[in-house]
Amino acid sequence: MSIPRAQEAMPDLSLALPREDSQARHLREQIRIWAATVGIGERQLDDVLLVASELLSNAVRASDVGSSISVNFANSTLGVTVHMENTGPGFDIESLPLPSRQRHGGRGIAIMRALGTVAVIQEGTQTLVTAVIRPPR
Amino acid sequence: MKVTCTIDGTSANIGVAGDLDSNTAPMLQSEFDRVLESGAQRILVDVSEVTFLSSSGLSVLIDAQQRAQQFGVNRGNRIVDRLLVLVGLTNLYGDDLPAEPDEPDEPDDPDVAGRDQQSSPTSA
Repeated sequence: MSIPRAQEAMPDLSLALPREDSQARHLREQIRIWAATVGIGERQLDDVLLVASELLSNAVRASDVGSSISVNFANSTLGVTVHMENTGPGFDIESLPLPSRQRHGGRGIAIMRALGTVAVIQEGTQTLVTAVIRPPR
Repeated sequence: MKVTCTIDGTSANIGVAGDLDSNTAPMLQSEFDRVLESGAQRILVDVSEVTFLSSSGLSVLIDAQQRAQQFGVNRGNRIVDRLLVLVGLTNLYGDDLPAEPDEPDEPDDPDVAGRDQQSSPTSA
C-alpha cells in the first residue's frame, strides 16, 4: 500500500531587476519558464504577462534612477499574486486619470483592474504594489 | 520587435512582429510619424506576428488611429484581440475600412512607376 504524499508547495518566482524598460522582455521569459513548472495555463499566462509588464512599466517610471525593482510571483487556487517593490517617489493609484482615447495615462491600471485586483502600499520612499490575477473562469 | 513598412501612394501597410511594449513602442511610434509625414492617409497594420502587446503599445496604435484618416489592424491574433476586447477598443479593427482605391493608370514615363513605393524594415 502506498502512502499518499503531501502535495508539494508550488515554488514562487522571485527576481531583482535593474530599473529599465528593457527588462520587461527578460521578466516575461522568466515568467513563462516558471508558469510551465507550476501548471499555469495559456490563457492565465497571457494575463500574468500583461499585468507583470504593466507593473514593471509603472515601477520604472516611479522609481529612482539606478535602483532595482524586486518582484515575486506566487500561484495558488486564488490566482497568481504579484508583489512588486521599488524605491522612489511612487504614485497614488487613486489619483491616476481614467483611461480615455485622448489620454494615455491610466490604461495600464485599468487593464490590471479588469484582470483582478491591484493595491499600492507606500511608506516613505518604498512602494509595494500587489496584484492578484484571477484564474480563468 | 521588427517593423516593416510599404507605402503606396497614400496607403501604408505596416507589419509588426515580436513584443510591442513600453521598450519597443517608441520605435513603432517613429514609424507611424514617418508614414504620416509622408502623406499616407490610410494605414493598415498587420499584427498577426505580435507576440506581446502592452498598454504602451496600444497607446501608439490609438494615437496613429487618431492621426490617420483611415486606420485598421487585422483580427486573429489571440493576444491582440484579448487586449482590445479587455479595454473595449475593438473599433481599432479595420473591418469597416472602405476598399482601397483602384490602381491609377500606368504613367507614361516608366521612371515614375513605383516611385511612391517604399519598403523599409526596422528592428529592435
